[in-house]
Amino acid sequence: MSGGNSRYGRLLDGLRGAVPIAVGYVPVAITFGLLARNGGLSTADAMVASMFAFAGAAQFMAIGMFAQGIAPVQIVVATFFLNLRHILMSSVIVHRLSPTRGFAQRAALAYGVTDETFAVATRDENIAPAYLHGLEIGAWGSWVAGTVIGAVVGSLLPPLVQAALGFALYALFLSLLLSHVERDAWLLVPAVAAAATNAVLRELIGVHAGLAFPVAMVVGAAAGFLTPDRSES
Amino acid sequence: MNNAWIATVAGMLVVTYSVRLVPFVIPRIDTLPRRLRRALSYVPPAALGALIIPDAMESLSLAPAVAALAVSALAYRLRPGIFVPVAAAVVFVAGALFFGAA
Repeated sequence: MSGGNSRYGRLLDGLRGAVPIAVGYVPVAITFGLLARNGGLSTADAMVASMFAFAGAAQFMAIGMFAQGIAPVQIVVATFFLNLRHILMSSVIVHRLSPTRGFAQRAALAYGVTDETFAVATRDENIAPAYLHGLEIGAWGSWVAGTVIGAVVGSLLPPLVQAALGFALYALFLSLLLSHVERDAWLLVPAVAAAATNAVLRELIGVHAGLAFPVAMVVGAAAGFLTPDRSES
Repeated sequence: MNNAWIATVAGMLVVTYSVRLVPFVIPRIDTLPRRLRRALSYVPPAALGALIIPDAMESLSLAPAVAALAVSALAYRLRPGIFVPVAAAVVFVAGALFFGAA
């Protein structure tokens, strides 16, 4: 089904394309809202994070680090490294984007680049700006809405269910990791190297989580160089 | 609202949006050195590995945490995606907590 060739039609196509993204986002966003409340933040705090950071995994990392009393600047540095991958996604999108209506439109399109909008948008060789707007608005809206639902409704759930939902975060990270490994099994090497480094630093040496995490990420990425170079394929 | 949290989110906004915006401003960013591009491709799996371990094991005791991750991985094998593996882990943990095993 197509919304036609008008800009409005393409926007609708984009919103339709965002439906599967929203199906994936809403339960995760609900979990984020819930965990933010569990970590002592308000519904407004959770909503502000989803509106302005709009960075799935980094938001979960941030509430975890924040609850451990890690300084904001360390959380921001870790966020930078975790989200650096978006530079590659944005550059792929830019090269497939049909002509835009000036810098303001490109700046708006940049705001909504996530792993998921990238994955859906790059199924097309040529990306219409209006389509990408629709995709991003749908994804962003469902992320923010899910966050608010989670923060409001989550606190009404029985304590047992709330405690169990706390583990959802790790299952989420594992699912995301498995989706990388499914695409390329060698990516298990950086993941295991980073996990082992983090565990040794934290549990055996007693290094603070705010320092151990970036070190583990760098060690993991370096370990990736032990695997065959497939970046040209 | 929590001021330290709002400051954190403001910082996250700046770094995350900058990274997303740069290629829209300088489209030739894909001429990034090949080794750097390769390193960047290893960052997400590395980050995810360090996000899971050891924190997942601290949220429950060791055995139930490992079992819950195994349940989640098995669910992923049967039904790739996010929802089913996450739901499977949550149901498993709720059951373990209910029966006092976690």
